[in-house]
Amino acid sequence: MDSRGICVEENEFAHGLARRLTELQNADGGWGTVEAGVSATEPTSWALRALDPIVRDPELGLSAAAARERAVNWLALRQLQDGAWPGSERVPEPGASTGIAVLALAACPEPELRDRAVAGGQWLLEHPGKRIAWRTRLWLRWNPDRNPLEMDMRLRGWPWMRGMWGWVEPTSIALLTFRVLGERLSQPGVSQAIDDGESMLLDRTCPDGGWNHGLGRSHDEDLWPYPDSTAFALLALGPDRSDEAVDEGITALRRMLESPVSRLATALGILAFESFGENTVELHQRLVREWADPFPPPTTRTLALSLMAARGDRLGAAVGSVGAAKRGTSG
Amino acid sequence: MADRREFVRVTGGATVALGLAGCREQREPGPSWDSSAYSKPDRSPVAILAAETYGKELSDLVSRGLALFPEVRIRDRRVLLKPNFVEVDQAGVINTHPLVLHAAIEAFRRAGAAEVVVGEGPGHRRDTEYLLRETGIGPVLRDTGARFVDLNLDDVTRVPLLGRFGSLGSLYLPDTLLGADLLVSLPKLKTHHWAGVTLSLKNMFGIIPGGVYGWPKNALHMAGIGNSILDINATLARMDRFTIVDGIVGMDGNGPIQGEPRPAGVMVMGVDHVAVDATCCRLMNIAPERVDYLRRASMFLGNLTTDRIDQRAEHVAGHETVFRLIDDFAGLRTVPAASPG
Repeated sequence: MDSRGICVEENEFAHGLARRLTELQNADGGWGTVEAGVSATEPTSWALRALDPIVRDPELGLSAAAARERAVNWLALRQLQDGAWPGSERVPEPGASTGIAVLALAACPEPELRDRAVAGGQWLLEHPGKRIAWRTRLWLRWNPDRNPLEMDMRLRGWPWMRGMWGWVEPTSIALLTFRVLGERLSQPGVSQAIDDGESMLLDRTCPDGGWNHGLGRSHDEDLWPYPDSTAFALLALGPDRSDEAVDEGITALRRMLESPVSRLATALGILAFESFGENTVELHQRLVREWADPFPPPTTRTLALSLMAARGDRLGAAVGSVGAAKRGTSG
Repeated sequence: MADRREFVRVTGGATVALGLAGCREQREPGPSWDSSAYSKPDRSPVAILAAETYGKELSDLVSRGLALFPEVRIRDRRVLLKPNFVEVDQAGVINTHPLVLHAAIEAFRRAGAAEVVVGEGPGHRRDTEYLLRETGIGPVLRDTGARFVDLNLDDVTRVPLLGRFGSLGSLYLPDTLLGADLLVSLPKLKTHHWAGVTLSLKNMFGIIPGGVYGWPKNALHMAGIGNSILDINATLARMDRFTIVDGIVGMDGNGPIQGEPRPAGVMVMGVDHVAVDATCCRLMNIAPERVDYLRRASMFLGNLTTDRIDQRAEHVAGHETVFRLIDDFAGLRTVPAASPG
């Protein structure tokens, strides 16, 4: 057993996932969202992030290193002039997947890859969600109690697609990238962006705790949280906060994961709980059991996040640094 | 409710409420569709089949229904079944019932389809594996061996829209959809809190890839829900299509996910999606001509009026069920109705 209670069988499990991930890599160096799919930025980035530490593995290091090199090249070749990444070989428009590419490249040791990550982070910083129309803002100012969606619509967050409204998962990813890159991004923009993103997430909680895609109530009724969205929001907000929303989010995630949900939910649950120092031994064991069932065929993202969970990736590790520093300076 | 109406009115409908309130779009003068999208037939057959409960016999029922439409070519063709499955729902009310999907897979195979694929792109939840497990769709796929394609994650091709009701111009569509010979919409009979009703036409939102547009598919909401329904279906008009509506137990009130179960005891089938949806409205005690997007769809996509619809199997009369409507859509009611209780 290691410090996280991971046993030999679970390391073999991680090796199996890593092998499978490398086998799914396309000839061009990227990964599709599913097996044999056209290479796309998001799955390629998650795969790179998951494989990067495997390069140092005595058993799989060589094949992982080769796969990593091809993935890095794929991402480097496709980064746009303005720092963003297109959605895929078929979708030239940039969007939320830029944040995942930033998280992948920022974890790499090579300075030139970190520079690429900074360019991507700067692009994200400059492309928050769409602002609501001026007449809506004006109307809400005069009718603050008559907002039917019961949310602060001035809070923008970050969108899935450029020019759209902000939602929970892309906002969470954007927050993680800002914290990873921290002071390498333009100031004071990054501090303000972190404040904006946090405020948006805290405003979009579900009444029973946790997060869904980004709507806590609709049409006078409560909506319910999703495990994956809640995990991303918790990773983004991090363990240094003392917000009630975070505590309720942890409770909600624990409740949602009481029984098996999906491989993705378990993997993200592990990553989120570990960033809060919670015990994840049972979830690790569950993840191994869940992967014993081949149905349904996994997405590349599920595979990569499962590998990250199995290998103890600290996706939320940057939260403490820049986030805490920012809060320290702002009092 | 008055607050929401006022909110939508003052703030311009289609551009507010995080893009979720797009059912009251600005109208454009003149035709808003490409001439090649015009697919309104002279007359439209629609079949209503009585089905009180979900059971194994549904596959025979679907086969009987398909036999009423000999013009639908199935043999040796790739059939894409598009159910409506949007949320975890233990009560079996939100989503197309798994046994209806099971029945459709068997019926199309029996009719000689070369392949039957199930495809869906849920609009809110990204974790499709979770939905497959929790909605009962997963066991159906295991039992039948039918291939499932998450349309949110499929490879895509950009396609110019043949409708110009919204400002989208083009949309990325899944390659599995574009490669299908026959697209079968399998919606649930439901009311919808932004669009009035969600049936065969609205079910097509699920073909739009979240992998490009996100969760939810915000671009469609920003263009207006009704506009997007029309533009998507205009673009699909050149495909061979069929629809089977699961109205055995529908949902009324605050649909599409927060409403109440409303047993209606029917399955409704047809080629003309407008005619099928109009018939479904009549079964729900809703006037289809008052559903804005249906009225506009009837200008070019299909028939809305009873004098153009040939009823096969059962008739509307005798199968009507009063579906509750939220206050915003009370005006859709065919005739003032007592509470369904």
